[in-house]
Amino acid sequence: MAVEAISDLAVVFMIIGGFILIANHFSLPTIPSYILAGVIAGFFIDQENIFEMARWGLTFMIFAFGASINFRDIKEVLWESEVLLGLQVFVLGVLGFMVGIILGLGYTNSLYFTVAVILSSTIIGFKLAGPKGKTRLVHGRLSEAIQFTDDLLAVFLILILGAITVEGFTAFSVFRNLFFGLALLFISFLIYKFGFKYIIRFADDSGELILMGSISLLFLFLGLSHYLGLSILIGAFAAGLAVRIDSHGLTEVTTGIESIKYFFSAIFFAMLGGLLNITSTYTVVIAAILILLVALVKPMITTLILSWEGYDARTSTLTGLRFSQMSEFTLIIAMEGFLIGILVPELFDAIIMASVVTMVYSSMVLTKEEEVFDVFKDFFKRSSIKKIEDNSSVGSDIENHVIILGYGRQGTILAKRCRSRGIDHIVIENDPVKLDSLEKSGSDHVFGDAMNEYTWEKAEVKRAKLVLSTVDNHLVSKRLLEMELNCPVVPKAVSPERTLEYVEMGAAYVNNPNMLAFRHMKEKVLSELTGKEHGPDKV
Amino acid sequence: MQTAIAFSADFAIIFVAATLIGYVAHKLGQPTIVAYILTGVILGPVVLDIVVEEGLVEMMSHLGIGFLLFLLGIKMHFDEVKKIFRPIVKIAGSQIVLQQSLAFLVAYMLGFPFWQALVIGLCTIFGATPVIVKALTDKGEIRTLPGRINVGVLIGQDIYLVLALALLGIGTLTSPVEIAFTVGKILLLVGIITVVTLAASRYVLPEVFKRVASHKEVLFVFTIAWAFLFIYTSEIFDLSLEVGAFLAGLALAQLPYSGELEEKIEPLTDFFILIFFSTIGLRLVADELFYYWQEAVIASLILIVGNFLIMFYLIHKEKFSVKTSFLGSINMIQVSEFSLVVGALAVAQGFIEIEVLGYLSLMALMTMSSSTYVLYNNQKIYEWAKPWLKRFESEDRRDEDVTEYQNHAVVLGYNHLSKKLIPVIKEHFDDLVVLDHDPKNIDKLKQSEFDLVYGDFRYDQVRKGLNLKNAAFVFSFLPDISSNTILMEEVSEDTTVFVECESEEDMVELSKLGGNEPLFTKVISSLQLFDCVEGFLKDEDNLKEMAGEDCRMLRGETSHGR
Repeated sequence: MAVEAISDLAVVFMIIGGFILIANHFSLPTIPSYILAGVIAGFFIDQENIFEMARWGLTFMIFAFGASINFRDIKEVLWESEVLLGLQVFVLGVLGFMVGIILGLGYTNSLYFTVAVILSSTIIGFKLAGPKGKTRLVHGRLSEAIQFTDDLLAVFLILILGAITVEGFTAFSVFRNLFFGLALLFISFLIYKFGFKYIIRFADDSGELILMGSISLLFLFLGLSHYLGLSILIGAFAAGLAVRIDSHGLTEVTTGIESIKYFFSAIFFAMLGGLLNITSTYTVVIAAILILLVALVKPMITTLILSWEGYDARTSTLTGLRFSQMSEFTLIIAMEGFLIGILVPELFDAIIMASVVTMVYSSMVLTKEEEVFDVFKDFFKRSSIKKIEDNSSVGSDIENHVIILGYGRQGTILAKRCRSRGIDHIVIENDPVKLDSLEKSGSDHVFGDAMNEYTWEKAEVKRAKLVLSTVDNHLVSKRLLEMELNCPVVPKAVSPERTLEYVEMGAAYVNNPNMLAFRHMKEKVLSELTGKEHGPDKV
Repeated sequence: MQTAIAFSADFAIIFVAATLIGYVAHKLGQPTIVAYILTGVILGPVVLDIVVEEGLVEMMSHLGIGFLLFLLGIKMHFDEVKKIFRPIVKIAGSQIVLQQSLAFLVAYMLGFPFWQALVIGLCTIFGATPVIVKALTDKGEIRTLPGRINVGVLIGQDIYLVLALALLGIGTLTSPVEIAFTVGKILLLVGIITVVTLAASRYVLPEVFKRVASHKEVLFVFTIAWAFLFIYTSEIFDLSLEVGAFLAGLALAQLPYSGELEEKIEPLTDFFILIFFSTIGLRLVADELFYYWQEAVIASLILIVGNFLIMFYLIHKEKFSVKTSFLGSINMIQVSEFSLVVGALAVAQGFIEIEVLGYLSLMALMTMSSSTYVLYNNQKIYEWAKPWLKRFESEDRRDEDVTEYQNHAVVLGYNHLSKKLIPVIKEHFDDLVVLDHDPKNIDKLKQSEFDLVYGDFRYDQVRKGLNLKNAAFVFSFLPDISSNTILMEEVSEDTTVFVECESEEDMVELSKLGGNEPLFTKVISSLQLFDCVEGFLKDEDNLKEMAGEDCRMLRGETSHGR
């Protein structure tokens, strides 16, 4: 019996192997590959054999997700994004629910339909714990923050939906679920704060034991949540939160949890694919509407909300585009609902189909995001000009000034130095979060997108002496060089190839931090190694 | 009330129990393997009888052994095995023959009827792969010479096992033609698969893996898929999945990412193998277990000593040093769990009674538990026995020595900035080692200016190779604070260390650790940039000059040395 099961598992993985090879070649995400592989494998194997493993896979996924979050991060990130998410969720939620009813799904299923429309984030692709070194444009940071809140919303929804049973749900059961759920999270917080270090201590330095200990914790929480009548997913999430893997030396544990997660999640999604059963046009209709809502309507609404909140057109659009897919959480919630018998098969199948389509679609769209924005650019023109006017502060009669593009670390230091040496300058920045400190700094500034012509008009670029960019983005740099300005342009680049390219294109110099830092570091190293002072290369 | 479909609690119970017992064992200085076996004994029919080996548990157990062998294959490096291939074949072959004969003799002397004794001889396989591999890996000895000899012999036994299972599977031992035919078929299959594997490893895999290497999840899942391909193939041809899994791993061993794969597969293996060891305990039933307990004890003692002597003689005969011979032998003094596998089949086919299986199980349990202690303390035992072994020493031993870096320079991270600094540093040192983790830099492995090692600094094995304690100079471009903290802990007082940092918090943390002042690249570059601006405002040609200089340097970088 076990032999058959392993053969079946082998077949699933072999097909997965083939699919992800192809998907990787086209830079497509992994989850659709797993699902599709499962669809194919479904013809050859007996689903029963891998069913239980897939169920365990589910818990490991959520566990790993919980483990990747720190309680600290939650505080930091919630701050910026909760309002934005709240608006997005509200609008889409109402819309989704109404559409669900119109489609004839009934109240409970419409609720699931709504969830499918609302949730967008990816657990598997997204890693919260990790170095945030790279310069990122606003929309990258923004979408990550919103999606993370999205994840937390999903966990919350799981709690609530867990209160639904075949008979329907009552306010009491919802309340009960919430109460026990929070109790569980509280226990997990206690362990996180006080208990987990004992698990580490008693293991001495055995990474293996810490890993096994963490997983045992998972099982205990699962048992506890089952006993409390909660969805095991909450137990898994709480267990994950309780695990502290942010201290050093625990790489083995992080890798371990990650490896186990990858292994089991592949099985889970493959199994979903195997369960797919498209037999009616009703399924296709629901799927089509779902795809429409998620792939088109949601990004549009998100863009409008962000624009209304004060973000520039480009940031709003690019962020909005990142919400054009469905979330793994939806699949998980759908699975649970289906197993209990609440979710009708047509909706279940529709959700799976729509997920695959939107995930593939979304990753393809994102590779062409700039082109998409170009199409909608003009729509935002007037409001853009107004936004720039409202938030900028430029001295009249300014001329022969230095324009500093970007108010990140480099920009801040440059602006400060300019101020202290009395050099006239204007800072261009488009991140609303930085507006405050920019205004307080005292530097003249223009709040606008570098790709927008009016931004430069406002910055009096025709009268500038030098344009200096601290933004590492090829499109921005290209734009600067193509603007054919009277003054020298210094774009930013990190790679040697780009640096040389920009010089070819007419850059007077290139802000290449590696080159710049190298001079300084070379001296330090040489003076250490030779014990003598070398004359610094003078500018 | 929520009524999600409940799933087998057995798996969870075993796991939690094994972990708890593992913690206790570890605290008492005992190896975890024993704890896991004990868990199985306690939870199973012998004591509590609350868990059964079936369904998911059975599946996970099989996966455990499969992944273990897969991992083993990945750890094999051809060049390491090539040198000792010939001697290993001789040792493995002779060992099997001598050992089975001894086991048969002992069983016959203890009163088992002739045919039964013969089958017992067939089933008594010494050298438990999971125990030895796990213990040696934990101690970092798997790649030492004795370790490799052990592994080589174990692999030989795996092939033998397949033969034994096939033989017993035939149902009768009377037709020599059938036996020969089956043996031939198996050897042929293994041969073909090995050839295909090696060919794939040489021609196909490097290309394929290069494409998937940069995406962590894809790399990992694809590796698993690769393993399963082999497992499936073995199943089709009625070979044991262990051999298939091993060959799958072997094919990957030559890739530059093998270290990374090892680190990723290992936790997964640990996870499943825990269940596997527990199931060994689960399989035992009290009455059957203790029926022949006296015979089992005597046989164990004789066979432990006997096997040690056999191995020592064989290894020593191949001109390995006394130390290697000693360690190689003492590692293998336990009955393999495969004995139980073969024994179970023998019972099913009616060759032996179930109590005989109990005899084998008891021997396995006793020898595995005791040998684990021996394994973990093998070096100490060797030191103790050294004076007695002097008589076996001689000049012409073939052991190799290992080269280590001394007073060298280490650069952690091969990026645009480090690339520029490397030539500057290289001038002052004989040896320069660069560590990097980016698959795209794999191609640069082949050049002579410095040694480029591929790996993640956070892993022990990788750091061992860098020999940080004896380094004279280290420049770290690692972005995360935890790695740099580990770095500062591992270098010596005399090492000159420079660390690049990326944020104020890191700067504060790193300053506390000692070493030179951390270099905050972003700030440094900004200040330098400002100097450029000031220079430009004084004299517009300044920028042009600097641009010229920089371009010259960058052109040099991009044209040669890539």
